[in-house]
Amino acid sequence: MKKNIRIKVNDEWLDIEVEHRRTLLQVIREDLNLLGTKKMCDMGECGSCTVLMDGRAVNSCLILAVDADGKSIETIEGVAREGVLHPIQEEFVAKGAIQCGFCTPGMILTTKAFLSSHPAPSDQEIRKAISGNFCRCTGYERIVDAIGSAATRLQDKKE
Amino acid sequence: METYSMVGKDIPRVDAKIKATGEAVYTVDVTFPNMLWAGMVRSPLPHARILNIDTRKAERLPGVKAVITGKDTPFIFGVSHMDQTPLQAEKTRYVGDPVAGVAAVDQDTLQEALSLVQVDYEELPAVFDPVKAMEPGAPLVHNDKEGNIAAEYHYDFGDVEQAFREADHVFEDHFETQRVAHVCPEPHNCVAVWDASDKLTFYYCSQMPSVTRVQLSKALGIPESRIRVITNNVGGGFGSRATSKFPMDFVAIILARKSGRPVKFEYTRAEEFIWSSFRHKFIMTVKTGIKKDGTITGRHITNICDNGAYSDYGPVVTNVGGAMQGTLYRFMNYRYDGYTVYTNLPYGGAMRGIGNPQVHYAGETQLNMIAHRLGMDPLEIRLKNAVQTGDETATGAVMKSCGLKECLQAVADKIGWKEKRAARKPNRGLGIACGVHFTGVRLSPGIDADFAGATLTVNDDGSVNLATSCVDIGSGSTTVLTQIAAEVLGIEMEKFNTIFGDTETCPMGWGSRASRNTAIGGMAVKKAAEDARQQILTAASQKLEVHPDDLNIKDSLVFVKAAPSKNLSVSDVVRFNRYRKDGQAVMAKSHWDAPSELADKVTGRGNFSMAFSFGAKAIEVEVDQGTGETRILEIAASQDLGKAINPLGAIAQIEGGVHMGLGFAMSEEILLDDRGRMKNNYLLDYRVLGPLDMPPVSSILIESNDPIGPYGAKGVGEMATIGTPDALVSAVNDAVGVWVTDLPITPEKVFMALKAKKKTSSKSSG
Amino acid sequence: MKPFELHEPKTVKEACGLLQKFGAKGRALAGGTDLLVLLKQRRLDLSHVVNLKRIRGLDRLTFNRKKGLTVGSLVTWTELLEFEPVREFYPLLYNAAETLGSEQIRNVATLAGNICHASPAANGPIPLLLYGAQCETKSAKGDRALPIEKIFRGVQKSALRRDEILTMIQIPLPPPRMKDRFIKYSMRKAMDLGAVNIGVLVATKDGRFGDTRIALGAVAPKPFRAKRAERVLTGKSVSEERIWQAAETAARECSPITDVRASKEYRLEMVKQLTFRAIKDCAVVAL
Repeated sequence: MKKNIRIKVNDEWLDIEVEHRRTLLQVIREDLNLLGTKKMCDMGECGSCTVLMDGRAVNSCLILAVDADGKSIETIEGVAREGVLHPIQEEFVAKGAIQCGFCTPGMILTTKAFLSSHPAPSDQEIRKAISGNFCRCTGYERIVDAIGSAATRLQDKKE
Repeated sequence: METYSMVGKDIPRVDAKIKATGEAVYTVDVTFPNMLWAGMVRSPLPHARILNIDTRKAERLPGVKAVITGKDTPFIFGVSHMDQTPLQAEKTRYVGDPVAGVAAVDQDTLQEALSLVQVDYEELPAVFDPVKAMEPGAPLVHNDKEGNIAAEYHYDFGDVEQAFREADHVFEDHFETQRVAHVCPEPHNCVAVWDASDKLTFYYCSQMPSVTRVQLSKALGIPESRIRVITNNVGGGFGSRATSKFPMDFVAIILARKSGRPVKFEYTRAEEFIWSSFRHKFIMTVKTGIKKDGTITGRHITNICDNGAYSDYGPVVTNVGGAMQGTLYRFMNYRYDGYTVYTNLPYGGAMRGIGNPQVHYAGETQLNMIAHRLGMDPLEIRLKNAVQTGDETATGAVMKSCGLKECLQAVADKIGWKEKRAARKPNRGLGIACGVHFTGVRLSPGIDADFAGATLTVNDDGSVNLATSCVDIGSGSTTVLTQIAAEVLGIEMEKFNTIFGDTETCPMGWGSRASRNTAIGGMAVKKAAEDARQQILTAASQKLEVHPDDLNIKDSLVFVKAAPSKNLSVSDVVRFNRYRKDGQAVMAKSHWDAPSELADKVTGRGNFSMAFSFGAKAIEVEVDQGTGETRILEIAASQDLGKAINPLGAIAQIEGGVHMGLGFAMSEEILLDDRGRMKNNYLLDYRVLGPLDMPPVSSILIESNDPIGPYGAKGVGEMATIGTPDALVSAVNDAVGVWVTDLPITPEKVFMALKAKKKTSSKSSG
Repeated sequence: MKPFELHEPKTVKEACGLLQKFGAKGRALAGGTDLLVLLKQRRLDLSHVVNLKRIRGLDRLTFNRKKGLTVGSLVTWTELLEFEPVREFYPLLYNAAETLGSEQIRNVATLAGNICHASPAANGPIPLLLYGAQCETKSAKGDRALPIEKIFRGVQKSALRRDEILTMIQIPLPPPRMKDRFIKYSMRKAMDLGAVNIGVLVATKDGRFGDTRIALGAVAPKPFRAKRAERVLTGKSVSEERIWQAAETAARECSPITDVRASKEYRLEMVKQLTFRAIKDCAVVAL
């Protein structure tokens, strides 16, 4: 059973036909060929498939694509603008927050949504915000550091 | 003190940007048009004879393009002991042992086809306890072997019995460690593609593509020249991809051959947890003789390694654990009896530290217990016995650089060891432990090699192509190796294109395991870069009409040291060198074998690694006696890595290692039911610690400047995983007076130990 | 997941009709964080999924002092966290929300879904039991109003009939000046299920316990109010011995199991220990 949906992916409206049971993650990776969003557990327990849906972080493996109809989706591919890295990406790079990199796209998107509503977070608030993003390499220290730096930079940018 | 322009700097990883944008390609991202999906039918029984397999229904299902069984995969493979075939034809040895493979056009068809394969089994008696498996009459896991001991290792240095006689105290304690999973973010996966010239291209998340190629060639009986292994970015390895040794790899390859189409095989997370290998369970006894003044006279360790059904890395893991315990302290009387034992359970493999973390846990915890029993300071007892620079240990390891004491002192100072022990607070305690790990290793008998390779070309525009045998599985090796080459050549990092992972374009090497990338990979790169540098200087000296020794290179400029305005760009030199009669390219190669030795066949001793890295962990805890919860107030982790080529990268590795070690200590465990099925193969109940669970971690780098490694560097990654549970268990005892040694030490275990202690003390006082 | 047909009714009546038609082969979908996992693991065999998210009005979240909090069945945990009256008047519900899952889960999962999934270890039941919530359901056979405790029948078994949809949860305003404590005792500080869940809502006056409510989860097939333990305290003078007695009584009202998270024995011990602490914290002013 299929349905035609209209979703905005990284600022571009797309018309696609999807089977009812397809998840947003499957559509992103397999139909739209956006491979930055990763599948690690497919059960909503790791956050590697995190995308922003109408600005909110969601596990795309637990969203039916049909439920994204009419919504705006941001994947990791939409974060950098015309080749210019977002400050969050720059801080992840500068602060050593990236090792194998598999959790990184999901982590960055979670961070982006979080910092837009929490511009001056504490260390604990940052840790809570990324609790749904599993990482096996870093132990989270450098990631928390990078997010703190990114918050400061985004604040400075506003002023 | 030499100052460097690249080495010793916190240079951001060269692959960080593409990972931050999601552009980095991993094997999971590799697809082909016309590609098929593969899966396996697995035995539901722990031990069974296969009476019959009927694949006809599966074969007839539309969309199924190939089905294979054991008769299609008669390849024997293994790591050091060849005891495994990809699909079983005669009998299965653990729940999950594969018996058939299917390739189909999509996942739905694949799942249906797998359910249509009919297998008739005759269940056999099974054995799940390695101790029982060693007894005569136990069910035989491998019929062609005489018992269930896959391998055994016996070291007997000095005279341990005499050492015990000379001791003032002899203590014997028993320890067991649990199975833990790698939990690599990228699940195990591969794509096999055969082309019309009968050549196989195998996309694989390998830690050592050139070894994968050798192993596939040997097992499949195909020349290496007809196998190309391509490894892209790897989403974590931690030892689980340290060689091509999984049934799925062979199954994908044969299905691709049979169907004539590319075949992809990807594990689900549930499969990844238990069937991609894990850290072996060890059952250990440690007997230690010690003098009144704290000098250890000798040690005897017995270790039973629960191998699971196939040996994989089990023998190596058993061997390493034993070797390293004779390499940390100065006692020369050391005996180790290690057994790798088959059971009808899923099998373990190499996992960060390969056996060292487990045996260290036993040895260090016992030493902490001994210190406690004798009323001695656990720090002082270690400082007293610690190996030092220049020592040759019981195992024959030579300490050319050793910062063990400095490591211990550094964490003790950071945690406030002396002050806090003098001013006790209720329910608070401190623990300390140290460890040693190698930098590359020669421990596999018969394999007298431990090498890495590098090739380097400087292009006309002054950019550099660097190819290494080291795979960056997230450890930052590509960045460190580029830094080394950039330092030697005087060319900026941004001008480097460093590649790895393709057996067609990259040199051969043992890849990424045994903490060898920085030192062994680094020396290969350094030698190649030095060679290239000399070529540049020679060519430049001709053009500038000076002696090569009068020249230096910095920021891609070749200049006369005494008169820097007399200079040429590297690009100009390369072009000059190439575009002339009998011109030359600037190209270099290096194959560097680490100066380590195999153990002597008679004495068993040998300097089995080029260098040894040391580390220490000190932990302060506060225990809530009402619940048993242990709150870690601080962890200090020090590491002697010789020289930090990239300090930020090294700290990142240490933090990751502490995270893994804490999980091993407090929360992670593979729980098996009574048939060997994993009960908690999902992230909710396989508890990897999250960001809110992590305590403050202070990482301290100690540089003992090894005389051999590049710029003095030694290995980093595995030492970081050693010592955390050792220090934690001791800290808990220091806080509330109970030794909870059964890892992971969950709040429940601490609570129950405290409850039992209250009962016995009230009984004795009542 | 196996293929299924997704239906997107515009009204509750339509949805109930569809569920009645599909029987065991159909289920309602709200946030999907439980249902999709069950479907992926093939623990549910469905041919039809009835998506509730196109039905207007189900996402209603309002508050007034008379009726209290009205939570439509499509209201997500994030919406609850961002609704000021929840933080101000229903701190236990706020705690339950902030300790559930992850940001990604909270943005999508619903309170109603949490209740209907009926896991004994769920966060949602604890505050609802303490606040005395009422659940409104609709079905082809008519409407029902069920007190929250009647919703749970057993492990992952709710009292809802196949064609019945939970449409709204009504949470009355708790009496003023009650102290509360919510404890989700889990091994990890996030992304975990409680080995033991405890919530208390305590009133004290002049050194005596007034209205005292204790709710427990993950220690029995259903989350429940520990009524016998409550009676140990209500109307009695505040003392540590009495609080401990109540905690022990609460433990006796439990029937926990041993599973991968904790043993039965440890769960009972933690019910005692943590119930004691929770009530003591609330009564500390009076002591």
